[in-house]
Amino acid sequence: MSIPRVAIISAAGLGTRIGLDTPKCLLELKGQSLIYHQLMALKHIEIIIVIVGFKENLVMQHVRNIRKDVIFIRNKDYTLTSNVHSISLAAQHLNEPFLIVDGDCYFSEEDFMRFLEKIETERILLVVNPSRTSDSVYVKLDKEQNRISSFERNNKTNLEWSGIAYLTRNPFRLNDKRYVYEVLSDFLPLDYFEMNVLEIDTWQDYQNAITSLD
Amino acid sequence: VTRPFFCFDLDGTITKVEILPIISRILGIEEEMKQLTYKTIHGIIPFEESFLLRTQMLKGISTSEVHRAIRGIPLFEEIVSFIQRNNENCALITGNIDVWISPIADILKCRIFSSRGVFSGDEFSHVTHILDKGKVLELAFKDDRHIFAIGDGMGDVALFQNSNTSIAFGGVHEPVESLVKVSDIVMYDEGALCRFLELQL
Repeated sequence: MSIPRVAIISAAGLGTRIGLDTPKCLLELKGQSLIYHQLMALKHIEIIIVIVGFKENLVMQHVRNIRKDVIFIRNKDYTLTSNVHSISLAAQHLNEPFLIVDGDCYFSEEDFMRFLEKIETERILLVVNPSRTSDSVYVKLDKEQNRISSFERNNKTNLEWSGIAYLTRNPFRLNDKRYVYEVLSDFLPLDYFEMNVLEIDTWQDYQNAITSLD
Repeated sequence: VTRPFFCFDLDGTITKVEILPIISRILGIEEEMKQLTYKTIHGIIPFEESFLLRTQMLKGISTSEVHRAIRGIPLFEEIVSFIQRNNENCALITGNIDVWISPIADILKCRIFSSRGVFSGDEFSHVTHILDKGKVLELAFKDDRHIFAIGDGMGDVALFQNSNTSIAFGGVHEPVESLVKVSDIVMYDEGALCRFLELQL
């Protein structure tokens, strides 16, 4: 196990597909916000960076009440830029391995600890989860089922990319309009860790997440 | 890789309280000074006008008493330690007067950019130079350094605008909204700030 010192949570986006006037990281599951659950799972990580944009004051105020030492990096152009750009705003300041976590998903502390235990310093490790959300990025495994051989948009597989990963160095560039998985494609084949992640992209995803946690 | 250079505001960034109200206690005008200082931090009065006004109120104050008061001001010790360890790559950029803040300058041992005043013996007379924080960065540093600016008040907007990466620090109070709007990073915790700055070395 090699627990990185830094984690970047991206919570800047508008969440257009869910269509709410609230940042997705503030949606509640089990009586607490998504970002509350994430910060609990990440409590052993020394440096937490949250990328804010949409309703940044609301997000910063909420997060400060959970953990005071969070670093907020502002994506001032959050309506025009990609998640890769958001992550880059933080990663450009890092010269060491780090975690990335999408701010719009739920996972348990226990599962996340199991993921941390699998990290090896020199190897990128991606979290995948059983396919369930709409409009997913699916992952295809190699013949031995040991590593991810490709990302698929149209060919559904049993596993989908979760938006959570351990990265050994910064592969992202500012103003890159690609998706995170497209940037990570350059490093295939990649190690993976399967765990239960509930991504909230749509209202239906949110309702399904509420039901599955009941 | 561009080497980092760190520019720190003083009041509310290195000190845990505003300095002029503490100094003004000596003359028994703390409340008036507090109100003016609050209005300055929040951009209700421009820094230059306010600073002239506030220093006029302190005319005749004894330097040795100012130093005694300043030595009692609580500092963000982790930030002080970071500056001491990296003094070659740090600067203090403050509108306060060089002679008054010399006890803090002695502790930090980094480059200091500040306002200047005229003294008659131990007594303060008037201000001769008010520091323009934006100009300091334009004039004092070459392009080969990545400038990190750290501050909390309206007076730091020009500093932020002329830096490469700006950090609004809410260690004492909420950083001023206009400053947050021009900042790249917002932090509220001294330890987090120091850990982040260490990552840049």
